[in-house]
Amino acid sequence: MTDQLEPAAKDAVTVAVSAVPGVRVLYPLSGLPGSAVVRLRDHEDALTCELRLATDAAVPAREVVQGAAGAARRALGREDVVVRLEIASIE
Amino acid sequence: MTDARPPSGPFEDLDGHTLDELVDYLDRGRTPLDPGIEASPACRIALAGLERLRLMAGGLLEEDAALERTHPDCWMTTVLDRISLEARPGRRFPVPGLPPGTEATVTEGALRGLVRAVGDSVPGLLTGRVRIEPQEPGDRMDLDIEVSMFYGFPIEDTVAEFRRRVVEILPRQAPFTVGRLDVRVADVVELPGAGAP
Repeated sequence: MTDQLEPAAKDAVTVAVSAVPGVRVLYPLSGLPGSAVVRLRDHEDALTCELRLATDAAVPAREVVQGAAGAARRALGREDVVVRLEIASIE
Repeated sequence: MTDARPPSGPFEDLDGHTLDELVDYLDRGRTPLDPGIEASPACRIALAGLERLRLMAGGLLEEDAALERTHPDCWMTTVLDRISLEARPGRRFPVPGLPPGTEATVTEGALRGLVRAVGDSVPGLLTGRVRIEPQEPGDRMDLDIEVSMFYGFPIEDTVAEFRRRVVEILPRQAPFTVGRLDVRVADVVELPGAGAP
């Protein structure tokens, strides 16, 4: 993924994952000011997408995880993306 | 890159915010929206706990606020310290059984926050310390929970209802089954102006 594509790809993932039922909030990936909510790492043809979520207690965690992972892959237009999620709060 | 924030005491730092700041933020009705607080899982978990505490024991919160500085071991101080301490992320538990290419973890803070919300939803009960202990092999965890009861509520029935809700709700969110579930009533507290239910 080129540097020019990356901001648009991150925005697409943010919009897609935020709309998944059971996702309440996409948290910044660190507590540092300006930290991104989506991290994409492209290493040796393997693309990894990292996200940190607040989820809805009424929706089972496994459902939210699979929904968010699928949404991220569709937004990136690639099925071979490794999606890493952290559920940081359940509300 | 290192975190440049100054070190703070164990009960003070919630992603750079203090519990006092969160109380003030709630007093203002969470307006104007503070992006730093709203973007912090620990702050949001603590805010949820503070909101529930206010709903249940608002009178006691105001009464004890005056005592808090001079009596650091008063009940309300302990409750507030616990809300702050247990909102932190803690350990990360992997979610098993996901398809290849998908990896997920749930933080200990998220699970403790959920258990506290479940407990606080039971009339007459306020959740205190929540300890989660993974067992080997790692698909089962034991829970050790302290609660406060409000005077006038039947302890046995209330605790039984709490246990029922934990066993029903936690496995939907937690990457493990609930093993031993110990609930200990640490305090019975009388709410000012409250009679028996």
